[in-house]
Amino acid sequence: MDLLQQIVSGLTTGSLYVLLALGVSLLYRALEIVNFAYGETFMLGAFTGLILYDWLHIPFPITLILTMVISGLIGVLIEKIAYRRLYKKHHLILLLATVGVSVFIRSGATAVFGTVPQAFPSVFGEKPIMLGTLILIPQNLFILGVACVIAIILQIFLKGNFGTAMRAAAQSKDAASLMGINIVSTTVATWGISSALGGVAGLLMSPIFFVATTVGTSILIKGFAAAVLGGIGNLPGAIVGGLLLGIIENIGAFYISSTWKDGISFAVMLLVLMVRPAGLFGKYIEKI
Amino acid sequence: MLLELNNVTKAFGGLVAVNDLSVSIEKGEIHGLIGPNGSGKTTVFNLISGFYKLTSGSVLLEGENISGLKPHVIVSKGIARTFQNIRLFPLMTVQENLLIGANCKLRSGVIGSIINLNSVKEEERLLRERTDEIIKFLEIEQYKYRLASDISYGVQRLVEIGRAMASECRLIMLDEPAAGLNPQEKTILMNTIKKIRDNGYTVLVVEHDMRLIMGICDLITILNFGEKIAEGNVEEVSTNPDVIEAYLGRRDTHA
Amino acid sequence: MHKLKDKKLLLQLIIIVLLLLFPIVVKNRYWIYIPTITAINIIAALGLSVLIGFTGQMSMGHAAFFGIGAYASAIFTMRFGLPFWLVLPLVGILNFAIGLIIGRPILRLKGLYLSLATLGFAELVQLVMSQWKTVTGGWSGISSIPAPTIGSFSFANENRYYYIAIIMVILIIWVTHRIINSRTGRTFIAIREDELAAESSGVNTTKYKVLAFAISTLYAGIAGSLYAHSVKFISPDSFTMNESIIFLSIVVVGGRIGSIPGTVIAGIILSFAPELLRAFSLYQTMLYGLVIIVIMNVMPDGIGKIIKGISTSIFKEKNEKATN
Repeated sequence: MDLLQQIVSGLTTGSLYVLLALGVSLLYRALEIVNFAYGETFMLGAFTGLILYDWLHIPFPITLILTMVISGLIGVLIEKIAYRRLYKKHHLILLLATVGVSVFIRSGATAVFGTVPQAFPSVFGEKPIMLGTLILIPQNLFILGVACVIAIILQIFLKGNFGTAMRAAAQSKDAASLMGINIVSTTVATWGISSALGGVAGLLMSPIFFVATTVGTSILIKGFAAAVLGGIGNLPGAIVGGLLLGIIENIGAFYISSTWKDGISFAVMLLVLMVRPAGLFGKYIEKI
Repeated sequence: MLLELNNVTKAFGGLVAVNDLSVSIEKGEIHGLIGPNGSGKTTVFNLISGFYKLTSGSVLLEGENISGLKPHVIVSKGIARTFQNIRLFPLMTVQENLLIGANCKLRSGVIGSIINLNSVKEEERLLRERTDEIIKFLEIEQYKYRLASDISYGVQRLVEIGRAMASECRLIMLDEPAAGLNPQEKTILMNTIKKIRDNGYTVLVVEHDMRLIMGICDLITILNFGEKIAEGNVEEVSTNPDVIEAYLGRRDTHA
Repeated sequence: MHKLKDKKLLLQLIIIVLLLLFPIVVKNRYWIYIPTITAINIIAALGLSVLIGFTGQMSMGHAAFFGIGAYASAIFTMRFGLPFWLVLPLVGILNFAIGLIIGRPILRLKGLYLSLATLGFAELVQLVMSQWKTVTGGWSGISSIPAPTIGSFSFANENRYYYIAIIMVILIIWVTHRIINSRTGRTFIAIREDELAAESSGVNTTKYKVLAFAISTLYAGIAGSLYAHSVKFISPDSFTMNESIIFLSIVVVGGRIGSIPGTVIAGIILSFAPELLRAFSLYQTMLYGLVIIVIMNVMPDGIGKIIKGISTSIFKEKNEKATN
C-alpha cells in the first residue's frame, strides 16, 4: 500500500511537471528552441502569487488567473526585447540570450526579494483525508485538479485555429505566412502561453514548497526531464511524461534514498536520451 | 562488375521506396539512373552510400558486401557522391574542400598532425599535390583560394565533384548534377563527366535533364515507383514505350 | 610574407613580456588574483571553443569536467601525496580519457538533445560531488589544498602562482592554435560546416567529434587543477550550471564560429567584469546577464569577427596567399 501512496503523492508534483513540460514542448514544437529562462518564469509566477494572495489578499481563483495573465505578459515582453531579432540566427545565439535573461531575472529578483525563502499560505487546508489507507491532502488534490483542468483547456484550445496556425508556422514559416498566418503574433502567443504555464505552475507549487528566488534553477531541469521523457515537442507526451516523472521520483526517493531524489530526474533524462531520445511519444528526426 | 545491387528493397514503415531492385554497373561505365519524381532515385543513392539501411538485398562493390557499412567507410572503400543541393563547406576555400575529400586516404594519426611530424608534413604535401591536380583537371584553378560560398553555382558543382574525386574513389555518384545550371555550364559539366570517366572513374548519374543523360550515358536504368521498369542504352531507352508512359502518362489510343 | 609574420610575432612578444612583468609592477594581491582566474577561465573556455566553436557540437555541462579536474587534482596531491607537476598532466590525461568514454554515447545526439544530455550529466556529477562524502567531502568540499612546490620554493603566494597560470595559458593558446591549423582542425571545421557532407566525404565524424569533446574535457581538467591549487578550497558550489554558463558565454561572445583571439578577449572581459562590478554587488550579476543579452542582440557573431576585421587591416598583405 505504500507504493500506492507514493504514486498518489507523486501525481501532485507530477502535475506541476506536466505544466512545465507542456510549456517546454509547446515552445520547442513551435520554434524548435529551448528556453533556459523558463525556470525563472516559474519563480516569477510564485512571487506574483505571493504578492497577490499573501500580501494583497486577493482571492485565490482571481490570483490564479491574474498570475497566468501576468506571467504570459512578462513572457511576451521579454520576447520582444531580447529574442525577436534572433530567430534567423544560429540557435546557439538565442539559447545564450535565454541564459542571459535567466541570469538577469534571477539576480534581479534576489535584489528585490532577498535570499530568504518565504512560506506561502495554505490554500485548501493541510488536514489529511483518509481514503482507506491512503492519505490524501486536500491541498495537493487541489493542485492536481487545477493542473489537469489547465492542461485539458490547453489541449482543447490547441485543437482550434490557433493550434493549427502554430503547427503550420512550425513546419514552414514561408508557406504559413503566404497562407495569411501572422507569424509574429503566432510566435508571440506561443511564448505567452508557454510563460503563462510556467508561471501558474510556480504559483501552484508554492503552497507545498516555498517561495524563493532560487527555485527556478532546480525546477528547470525537471521540466526538461519531463518533456524529454514524454517526447519533447509532443503535448500528450508532456502530460504523460510529467505525471510519470513525478511518480518515479517519489518512488525512487522512498525506496532508494531521498538525498539522491533530484538525481532521479537527471538520471531518467539521461537514460531516455541515451536509449530512446524521442521519448515515449516523440519523433527523433535526424535531418538528412 | 564494379557495383551490384541485388534485390535491394527499402521500406520506410509502410511505404516501399525501392522494391526488389537489381542493377549492375560495369567498370568504366557512365551509368544513368532516371525516372519521374519520387521514383526512388535519391533513395538508391542513400542506400549505396550508407545513409539508409537496406530493408533487404545487398550492395556489392567488386564482390565485397558493403551493405550496412558507415558512410565514411564506404567512401574509403571507393564510392563518393555529390548532393542534389550542393553541400560544400561554405567557410572553407575550394582547396580546403577538396582536402577534406581526401581525408579518408590519410594514414597518419591525429596526434601526429597536431605536433606536425615530418611524416605528416610529407603526406600533407602529397595531398596538396593531388588536389592541385584535380583542380587543374577541372579547370577551376582561379578559384582555388576562394571561399566555397563565394563562387558561382556552376563552379560549386565542379568543386563538389572535385571533392568526391579527391577520395581516390572508383565510383562517383552524381545526384542531379545539372540542377540549377545554365546551358553553358551544363555543356561544361557533360564534358567534365566524360573526362572523368576517361581518367579511370566509373560514374553513376541521377538526372532529370534528358539531353545530359542521352549525351553521356552508356547504360541507363529507368525507375518508377521504386522499381526498375526498363534498362538499356540511349537508343533502346528512348524508344521504350514503358519509359515514355512513365514520363508522359498513358497515351490514349482512342484519341 | 616576412613582414606579416614579423609584425605578428612582435606583437605577441610584447604582450608576453607585459604579462610577465605584471606582478612586479602591480603589488595588490587582489589585482594579481583576477588575471590568474582569467587565465584559468580562458583555458577552460578554449577547450569548450574547440568543441562548440570549431566542431559545432554542444556542451552545457563544462563546469562538471572543470570540477572533476579540480577534485582529482586535490585528491591526488592530498590523499596520494603526488607532486603538483605530475598531477597536472595526470589530471589532463584522466579528463581526456573520461571525455573519450562519455563522449562516445553522448555525441550520438545532436542539437537540443545533446545540450540536455550534457546538462543532465553535469547535474549528476555535481550530485556525486555533494553526496560522495568519503571522497569529496560532500558539501563541505576539500580545503587546504597544497600549493605547488619546487624543492623548498613554494608557489603559495599569489604573485608566484600567477606565473604558473600565465605560462599555462600561453602554452594552451599555442597548442590550440596548432590544433586548429592542423589537418585535424580542418576536419573539425568541416564537421561544423556540414556534418553530413563531411561524413559523405569520408570523414569519420564520430571519431572526430569524440576527439573534440575529449580535448574540451582535457582543457577543463587542467583548468580545474590550476583552479584548485590557486584558491585552495573547492566545493560542489564552485561547479554548478552557473559556471558552465560562464564558460559558454565566453565562447559564444568570443565567436560562435570559433576564434582563439576572440575567446581570449571575451574571457578577459567576462572574467574582469564581475570583479570590477563587485562594487555594485547586488546588481553585478544582473549586469552580467544584461551584458550577455545585449551582446547576443548587437554582436551575435561575437568578438572574433570584429578582431578578424581589425587584424586584417593592421596586418594587411598584398597577396591573398593562403598561409597554411
